[in-house]
Amino acid sequence: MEAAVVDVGSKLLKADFAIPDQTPAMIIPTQMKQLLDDGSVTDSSLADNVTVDPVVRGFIRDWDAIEDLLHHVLYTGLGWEIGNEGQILFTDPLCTPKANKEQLVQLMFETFNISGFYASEQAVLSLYAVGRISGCTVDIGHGKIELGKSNPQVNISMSDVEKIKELYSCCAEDELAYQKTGYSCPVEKHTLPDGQVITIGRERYTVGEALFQPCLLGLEAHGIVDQLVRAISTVSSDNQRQLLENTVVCGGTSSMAGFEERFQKESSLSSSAVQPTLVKPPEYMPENLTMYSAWVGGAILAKVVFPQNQHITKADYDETGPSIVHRKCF
Amino acid sequence: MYGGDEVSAIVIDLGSHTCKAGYAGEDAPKAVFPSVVGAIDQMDVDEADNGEKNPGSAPESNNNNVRNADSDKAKGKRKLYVGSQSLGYRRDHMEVLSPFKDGVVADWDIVDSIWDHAFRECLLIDPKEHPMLLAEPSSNSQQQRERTVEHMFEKYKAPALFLAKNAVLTSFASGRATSVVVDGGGGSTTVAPVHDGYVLQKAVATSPIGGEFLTDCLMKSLESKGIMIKPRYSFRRKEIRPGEFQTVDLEFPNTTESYKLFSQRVIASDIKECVCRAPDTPYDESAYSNIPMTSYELPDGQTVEIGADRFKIPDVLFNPSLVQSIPGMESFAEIAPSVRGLPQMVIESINKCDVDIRRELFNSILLAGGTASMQQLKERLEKDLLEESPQAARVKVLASGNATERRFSVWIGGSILASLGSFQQMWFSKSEYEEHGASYIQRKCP
Repeated sequence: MEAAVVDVGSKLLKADFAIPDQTPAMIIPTQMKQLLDDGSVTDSSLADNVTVDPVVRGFIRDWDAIEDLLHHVLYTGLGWEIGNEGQILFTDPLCTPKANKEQLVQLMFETFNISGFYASEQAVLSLYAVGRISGCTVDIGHGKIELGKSNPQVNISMSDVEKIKELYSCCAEDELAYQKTGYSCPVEKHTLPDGQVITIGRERYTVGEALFQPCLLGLEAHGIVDQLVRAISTVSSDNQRQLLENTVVCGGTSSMAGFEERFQKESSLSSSAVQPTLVKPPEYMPENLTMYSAWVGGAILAKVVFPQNQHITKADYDETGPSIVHRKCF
Repeated sequence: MYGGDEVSAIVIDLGSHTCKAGYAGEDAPKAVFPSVVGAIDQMDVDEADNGEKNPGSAPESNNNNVRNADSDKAKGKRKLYVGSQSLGYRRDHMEVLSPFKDGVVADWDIVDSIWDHAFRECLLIDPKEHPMLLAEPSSNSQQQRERTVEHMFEKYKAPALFLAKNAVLTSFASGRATSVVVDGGGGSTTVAPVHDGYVLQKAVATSPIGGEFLTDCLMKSLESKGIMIKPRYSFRRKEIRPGEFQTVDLEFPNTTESYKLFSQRVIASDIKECVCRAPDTPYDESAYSNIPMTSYELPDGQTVEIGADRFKIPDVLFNPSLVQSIPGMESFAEIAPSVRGLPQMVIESINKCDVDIRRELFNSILLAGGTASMQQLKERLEKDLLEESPQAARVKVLASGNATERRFSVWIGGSILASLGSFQQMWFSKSEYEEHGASYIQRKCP
């Protein structure tokens, strides 16, 4: 059977067998609802208090929850059978601590009894997805949302905010266009689950603008293009052009309407001799590649590392233990 | 017991210019970031508290009476900003400070904030779970070592610790027990003979001419030609018509001089790395006055043409008196006569060693550090040493062909050492610290 490829993000888990030119069959929320011991689901009004986020800012934090989630994904979702488990490739966020990697390997071999394991960094995999092996990846995923209320009368939950963000948020054409939204801009009406109707105006643009002007939210940080340019300026000058001219943008948030155009516009204004250039995915790749490019790259890589025996086998793990991951996966 | 495959040791090389940190056993550090930090006195700027905390910010540091004893000046409450990202963001009234003064740690709060950044922001580890191998300057004092020990065991709860001299680690990285290490770092250049894994302290030579000094020379020289380097924060590009761009200056009157200088140095340093190379023979003004120019495009789009400086600046390493002819560097002129060039430093250092090992030392001269990665420096040093060394000596200058390995050789040596099976019994454990105290470091890590 094909190897399974699993990309566990803060918000969405992407999983399927390694078929790179297709959309992964499973795209499910990473957040889980906690059942009480008697098996009943709590009142919806208390739902927010018993949700579990196994992954925080890209890193696995709740290992029991992840085990349950993976059990569902592999056996129910992908149809694995106990006693006949296959190989699996995981994506890793950048800077994953070694202890995390070892814990994942241990979980997979000892609890799920997999026959082979490999892991690779999400940034690298996203480059593979567009046919590059050198370049720069800008990954704007889920991260964290803090719920702030400007209208105390509105009863709104986190999941409602998520939905509104996904439906309405967009990027202004440029900084000047964003400033103009302070005077006038289109207004959308949205009906909440309880029947209330709220209007969303400038907020639509502020969401996207914060990526380019974090100071709007009081953050002392450069916008995303400046951060990209500054990060690349620290590497050897010989490599800067190659990296910047092969820039890949991925992550769910980068699917925001107008984001790519704004990114390109900000690039032309960046303080750099070489301006970032976005790479277009090959035509045979599925649409909306940015949503799961790390997964696609993982599927491509799985086609190479498993047949060529570059992965961790059960025998490797039994002989060396979890630390094998540092020697075989990079 | 502590290292090997069970738990990875952490290797940290806090240099004068950059801090390198990563896991033992790996071939390059995971994190490389500036050894300077941004600091804003909270007394001056209360509004700073209103902004949301920057993820890269270190916790506010408070000096207490004990620490004041180590500081020349009393410091009030201040907020420290550590790491390339935090430092790269301009803030009003933010000074750029180094923890070092004349190569010695003078501000332990800054060191703490740098270590915190390495552990919690870069490596994402809990320091109490990992033994720590720290690189230290060859001339580190006993007091400094004990202070380091106390910080690591008391504040970070490290399970084990080892301090190793920079030169020994570089020697290790090249697989040699005996060598002369020429370490061209950011803040200084050091020549240290290593014999059977130990630094011969009496023969260690240090010069204040390092990479930063050369960068300053280049900046002054460019300024004397009317070229001003604009820091990245001081301008932005504007599209005045589709496809047509213009650079607009921005005014930030509350920016500190130290921050402006830091930002300019970052750019000047890149120019230096791109265009400079050591000349084959000592720099001669007349011989180089007509060489072709090399272009470099600054971040603001301005192109500068650099000619003789490409060779003159690097030659300062070999001929420090050249500095006197660089406009704006007059303040260095008074001490220039006492500073020796690289070849003299190497020869004098070897001559202070036992006669029996000099031959071996001449045969194993190792280059290390970012400044030593400059093009043609190895060839030039070898040539000069051949000319100036005793007739019988067989001079061999060795340097990794890989620029990363040369630049990070101290860290790489630490990575190798801390992952060796035979090294694991050598750790200075926490229980030994609790039993014998900090001074035991002299016995454990000679």
